[in-house]
Amino acid sequence: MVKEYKELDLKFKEEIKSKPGGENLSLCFSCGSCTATCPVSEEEESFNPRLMIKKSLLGYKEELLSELTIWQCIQCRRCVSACPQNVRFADIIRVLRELSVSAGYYSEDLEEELEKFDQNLVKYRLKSLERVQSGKSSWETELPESGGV
Amino acid sequence: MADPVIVIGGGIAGIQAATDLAEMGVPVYLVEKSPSLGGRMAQLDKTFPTNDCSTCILAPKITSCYNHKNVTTYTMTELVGVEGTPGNFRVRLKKRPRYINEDKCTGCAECFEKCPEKIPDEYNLGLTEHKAVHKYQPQAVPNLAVIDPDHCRKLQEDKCGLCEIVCNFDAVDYSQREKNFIVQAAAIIFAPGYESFDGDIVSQYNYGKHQDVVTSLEFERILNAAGPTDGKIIRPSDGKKVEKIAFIHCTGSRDFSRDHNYCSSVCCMYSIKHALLTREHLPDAAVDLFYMDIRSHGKGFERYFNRAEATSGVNFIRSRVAEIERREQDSRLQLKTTGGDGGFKSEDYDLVVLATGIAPKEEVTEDLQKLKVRTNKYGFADTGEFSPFVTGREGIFACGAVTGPKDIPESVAEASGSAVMAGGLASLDIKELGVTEAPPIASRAVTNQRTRIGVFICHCGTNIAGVIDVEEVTKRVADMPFVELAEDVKYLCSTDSQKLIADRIEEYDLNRILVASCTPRTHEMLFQDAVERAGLNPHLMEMTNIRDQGSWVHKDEKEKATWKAYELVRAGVARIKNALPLERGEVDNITRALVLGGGVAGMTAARELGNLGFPVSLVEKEEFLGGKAASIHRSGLGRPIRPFLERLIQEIKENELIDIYSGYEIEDISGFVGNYQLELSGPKAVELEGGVVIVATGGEELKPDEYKYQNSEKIMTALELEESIENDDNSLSDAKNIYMIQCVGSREEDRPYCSRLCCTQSLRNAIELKKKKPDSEITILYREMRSYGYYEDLYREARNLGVNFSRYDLETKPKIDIVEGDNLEIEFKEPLTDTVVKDNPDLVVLAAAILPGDDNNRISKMLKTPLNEDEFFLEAHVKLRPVDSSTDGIFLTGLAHGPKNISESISQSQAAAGRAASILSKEFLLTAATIAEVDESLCIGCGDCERVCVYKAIEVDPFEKKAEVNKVLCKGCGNCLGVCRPHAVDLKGFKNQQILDEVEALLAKDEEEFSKGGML
Repeated sequence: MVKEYKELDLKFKEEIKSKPGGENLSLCFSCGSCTATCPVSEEEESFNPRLMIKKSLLGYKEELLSELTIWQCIQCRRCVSACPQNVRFADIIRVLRELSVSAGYYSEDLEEELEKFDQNLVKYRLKSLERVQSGKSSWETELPESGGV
Repeated sequence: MADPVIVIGGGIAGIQAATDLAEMGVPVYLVEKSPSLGGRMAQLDKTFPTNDCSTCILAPKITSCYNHKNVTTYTMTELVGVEGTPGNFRVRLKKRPRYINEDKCTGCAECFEKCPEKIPDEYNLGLTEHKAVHKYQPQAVPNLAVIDPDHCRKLQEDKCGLCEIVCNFDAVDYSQREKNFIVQAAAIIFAPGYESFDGDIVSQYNYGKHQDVVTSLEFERILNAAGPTDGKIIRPSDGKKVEKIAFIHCTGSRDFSRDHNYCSSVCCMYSIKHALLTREHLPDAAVDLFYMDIRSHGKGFERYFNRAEATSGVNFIRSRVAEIERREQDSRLQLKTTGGDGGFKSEDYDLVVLATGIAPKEEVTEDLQKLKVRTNKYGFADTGEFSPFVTGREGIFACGAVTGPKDIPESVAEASGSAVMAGGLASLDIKELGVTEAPPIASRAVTNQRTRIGVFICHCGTNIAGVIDVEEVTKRVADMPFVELAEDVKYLCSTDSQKLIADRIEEYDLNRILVASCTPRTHEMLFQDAVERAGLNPHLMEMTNIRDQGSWVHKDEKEKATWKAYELVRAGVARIKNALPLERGEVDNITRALVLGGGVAGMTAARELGNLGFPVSLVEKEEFLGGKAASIHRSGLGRPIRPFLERLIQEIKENELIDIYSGYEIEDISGFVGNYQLELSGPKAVELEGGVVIVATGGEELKPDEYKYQNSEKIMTALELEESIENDDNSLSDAKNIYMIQCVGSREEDRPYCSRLCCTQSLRNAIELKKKKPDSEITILYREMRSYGYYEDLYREARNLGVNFSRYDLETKPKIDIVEGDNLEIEFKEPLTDTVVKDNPDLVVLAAAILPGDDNNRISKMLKTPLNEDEFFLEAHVKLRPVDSSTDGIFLTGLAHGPKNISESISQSQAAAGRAASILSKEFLLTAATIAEVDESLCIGCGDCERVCVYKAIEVDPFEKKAEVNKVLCKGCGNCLGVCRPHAVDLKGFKNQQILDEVEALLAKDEEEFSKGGML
């Protein structure tokens, strides 16, 4: 793939750095700790925090903001504790989501929906735990199609 | 006599500093906290990049330092405080009790066996156990036992006391108490070393929880044949074979989040060493190294890295490891990584080695506070870039890892440099000092006397006598021809026995002594002293090793071992019977230094020697002084060069002891240590002479023949950029989009070395330009970012400022084109996104390679001192003699020796001055006793000897057609003997006849044949 520099948005990295949480973007030295510790990356090959940081630095604005990838993060923040340079990818992804919404690629509702989903997931987990402990049921590792709620 | 200097720390740095000062004639107190000298280096198995055995190269240095007449060693001693002023410090010390009388203990180890209390072995990092009474390490210097008071039953509960009972020397002393004392010192050299930093590896990598995760230092011990696993690489958890092993670089380094952002500088190299050694131990093992940037920036390191890369089974994977988990089913370790440039990957291993970094010891940081020496933000001692060993407190110098992470040769060089600085305060009076004592003349007549050999055979407690029937050997030896006396002694090394030897020499009029005991490596000097005190020439004493080569290796075959010991002793008798007294010769020494080169390196060496009071002649081919530094803008950490340079030039111009010959070319150099001649051409022809030569002839920056350099004004080298910044060029103010390309001409097939300073230089220039113009875009295209040591902070600062970084490989080098007049187009491949990026830079800066000086070849031939394969001057030993050349009296520094920055050049030049001073301080030089000699009546002048002599010590006289030995240069290696067809060359102390007698005696089948053969 050949990219002319003019196709890239040089100011994108400054845009991210100017938002709370995005300040440390350019401190990344691409060691890969974030990707190696990420439970989503372990599941989904295309989710690669290091690559997203590199793309942000290079100015792949449209691609990053328009694709679904940035919404795959579960905000567990393991990348934050694993990072030797305090880049704080989990916060950067929040900035990217914010920019994505304000650029109109996704609606604000998605953020809320995801939060609700995560809350329900926690509830489901707690309930399952109770059921298993009281002997009423055994573990279901696969969630129902509906998302388990 | 000069005033004493105190050296704190008995590791390799402290040992070097102490030895150099002692050689200059300065009395030294060497203070070591542990029970033995040696430090960290004594714990290493092998050293990079030569894979030399660490102990083997270190032990002789420790021994000669410890035995030096000017060195007083205090072990188990700590610093309490310092009062007074430079030239007159009062240093308070505290010596912990050893509970062993240091004058009585012989290190025989008899007590260890009886001691009932087992404790973790500190030297082996707790991987093995030893007793509460033990030796710190098998080769401890001083060779003494020590009792651990926390675990000794006698000291804890007033029970046991077995060691005292079994000790034959009455050396155990439970009543010892802590001792406080004060020594006076003119200066203090602080060389306490480092701690291996493991950061937060306990939680991050489950170190301590998973037994099969070990640190690099533990792995050194595991690799060691004398270590806890006898050199076998096995899984510590279950002893199973290791099939797959991972090395994790940067454990606790380059880690801003854990307050250790600096790079530890040595871990890449030692991990490569570990990888290569692992493959040697386990040829089928898969070895994976997880790294971020390979930092093989030292001399010869890149080749070592290339060798590892080309080794099958060794894989370099660019990825930091995030986590290590232990798998339940097969208890292997699962590493979570990115497997290179890709996404998440996990892989299983049997053993994981953490490349832990270098950190200041906590107690050392406290000591620094006691000394009122400033520390930097990481807790290391703070020293100046232009004065690398000078601490914030006058008269206190710091060297080695206490000032920051560094490898052994750098520590050794710094130690020599600190010795110079400290020597300057010790009021060296060069008229008085270093007048080497004339060798004592042996009073006892030997020639024309009947040979009367005394043989002393040592039991070494049970060490020898437990296996070998020493009485039997003694009885047999007593009957041999020429043997006047054979006697067995329980411990020959004890003070009583030394006296016994002297008494027997007197009593029996002995004129040859054979000692059958342990190794000459540690004990030859002791026995030589003993016979010398009795008036016998020390070369009339020989040793036969029946311990290392007898009892230790034949434990289970006592009878055969006894016979072998007898055979070895009788061979020794055959050899010693024709030994002759040997004397060391004296040659005059010219106490002037010749410094070649007037750059920062040469001027620094001249300044230090001038300050010590030695006359110096400095030669520079240019009209002006300053060399390359004159065109460099700022130092590695950003200090302006010009004021420093001007001050240095002024200092050497003002020193009356320094003669400067600028605008002079070197025509010829001849001579040898103590007596070099230098011919110069220039404004007038000049002939100079000196005892030593310091080579500081500098290097060049490559003028690249790629990246369209010279086709455009907008493409320049890093050095040209420095000049533009220094001159505040207008061309820079227009540049908004700048690219810097690293490794231009370095690390390629034709020039496979790293130029070391370019990464730092580009980072610093990028930072400066970006700060001046924050809206500019600066992109650094690099292969491995080598911002070693504290320079890692520059890398972070550059990223913080928004400088862009993109990696390239040799296969995907950036391309530059000139389009539409003078516009530039650059094309480079970004490896993570796998995209080719095209851009139009305003300026391209090429970080061009550092080249050896174009005069190196010619100077090398004149000096008869070799260059390495890259045509930089070659040091005598990469690890322990980093500024010595292989030719005596010639020292190397600066770019002539290899790529390095200004701070490193200064440090090395001070080291070269230190090494030179240890020769210049002597009025005459002593030659070795065991050197080659030529029988002119047999010599045919063929020149074969000249051809094989690596020291250039033997030459055929063109007129006489006879070979002549230079007594100063000859090292007694024996090369010439091997090639001499008419057997005209012989080696004093190792005469052909002696060796043949010895061999014949060894080959003799029984006594009858033996008495007919060798002994006649």
